[in-house]
Parts: sequence; C-alpha cells; structure tokens
Amino acid sequence: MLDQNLIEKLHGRLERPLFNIALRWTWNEAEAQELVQEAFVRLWNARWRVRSDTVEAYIYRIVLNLGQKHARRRESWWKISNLLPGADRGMSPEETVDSARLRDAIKSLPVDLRNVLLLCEFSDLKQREIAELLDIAPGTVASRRHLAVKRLKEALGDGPD
Amino acid sequence: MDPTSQLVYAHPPENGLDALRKRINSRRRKGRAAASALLLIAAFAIVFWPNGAPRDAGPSEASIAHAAKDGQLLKIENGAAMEVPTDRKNVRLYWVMALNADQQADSGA
Repeated sequence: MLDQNLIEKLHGRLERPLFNIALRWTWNEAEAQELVQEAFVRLWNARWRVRSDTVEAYIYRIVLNLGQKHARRRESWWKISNLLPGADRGMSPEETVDSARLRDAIKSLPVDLRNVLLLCEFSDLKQREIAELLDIAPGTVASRRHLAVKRLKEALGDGPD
Repeated sequence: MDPTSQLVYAHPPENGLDALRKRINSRRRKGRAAASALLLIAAFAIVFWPNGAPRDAGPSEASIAHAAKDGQLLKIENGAAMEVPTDRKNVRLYWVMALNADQQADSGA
C-alpha cells in the first residue's frame, strides 16, 4: 500500500513532467495544475490497490486520461457555444507556453500520436515502459513518435524529411 | 529542425505540494467522518433494535384477559394483564388470583 509520504515524494519527482503533459491538453497553467492535483488525489484514493512498482505508469495514465477528457469537454463546449452568437464561452483563455503554431500543430495530432509524443518528450519513461503504459508494442512507440514529429513538421511548414 | 525542440519545458506553480497535502487531508477528514457516522448508526441499531415479536398470550391467559376485560377488571397493555382498580373487592380478588395462577402455570411450563 502507498502512504502519504511516498505519494508526496512521487509528487516532487513527477510533478513537472506531469504538469507539462497536462499543459499540452489544457493549454492553461491553472487547469494543468488542477489536473495534476486531481490525478494525485485519485492515486491517493486508489492507494490500497496500486503497487509501488507500477505507480509511475499509473499516474501518467491518469493524467493522459484526464487530459483527453478535459480536451473533449472543452471541444464540446466550444461547439455548443458557437451556436449561441455573443454568448460568454465561459472557458479560461488558452496560454501560449509554446508558439501558437506549435500548439495548433500538437492539437491537430490524433490522440495516439499525441500521447506517445508527450510521454517521449516530457517523461523519463523508457520506450518499453511507455509501450506497457499505452498497451502497445515497443516498436509502435518509435513509429508513432516518428509519425508525430513528421506531422508536426508538416503542420509547421517545414515539410517532411 | 526537430519541432519537438521548440517545446517549452514549463515550471508548475510552486504551491503544488501544499495544495496536494490540503486535498489529501480533506479526503482523510471526510473518510473519518463517514466512518464515524457509520459506527454511530450501527451503535444506534444495536441499542434500539426490537428484541423480537411480542409474546403471544397463552389460551388461559387470553381467556382470563378476555373475561376480565369484559368485566372491566383487567386491561391488557403490551400483552400483560393489568389490574383496573375497582370497589368490588371480591370480584377483584378472584380475577387477581386467577391471573396469578395462570402466570405461575405459564412460568412453570
């Protein structure tokens, strides 16, 4: 069983990479922090059944899931609010931690490619660990990352290799 | 150029750990409150749970009670015969003696 001390140590070590991944789903620092906090609270609630050797993959998985959920909710709300001209959209504004073009390019990536790219760029997980986390073959991680970078280059106008 | 090199590695706000501690402690308090409430409900249930169905009156007790009620000498409360005060001492004595005999017979059975 995980105790509070262990979860706090994990927070100290993983907060930054998790925050950066969350930020590429929320595009808002406050919401990204809230998302990371929520992930750790969920880990706390599940502390009885999470093993210490799989906890890192577990918390990354929660952040990815919460990020996707957040993005879907945001997109749905924008679709609805666009039907109401002049209505207050009620969502916090996006912050441009990356360039606006890069942000749009990342947003245009399919979920599978986006998750691989974010884990490869921001986590310290090895390719094998990312593969286990996403339940895919290690070779698929490499190919998805390659494809994601290619798509980003195309979106940014750099053209493929 | 690899576009991932343009990704900015951002710093999270500094109060993250304090905020997490507050949220975990809040969960703990809620958990303790819920457990206490459950214990309290269980304790009340044990203390106030009825001790079973009321005892059925035996045939002789029932007949005495019926006759006594008719004579307005005894009343039945919660299955027990209670004497109703009366000036007719002889009659009252008879019913009380009959009731005592009946109760002794019940307890001896």
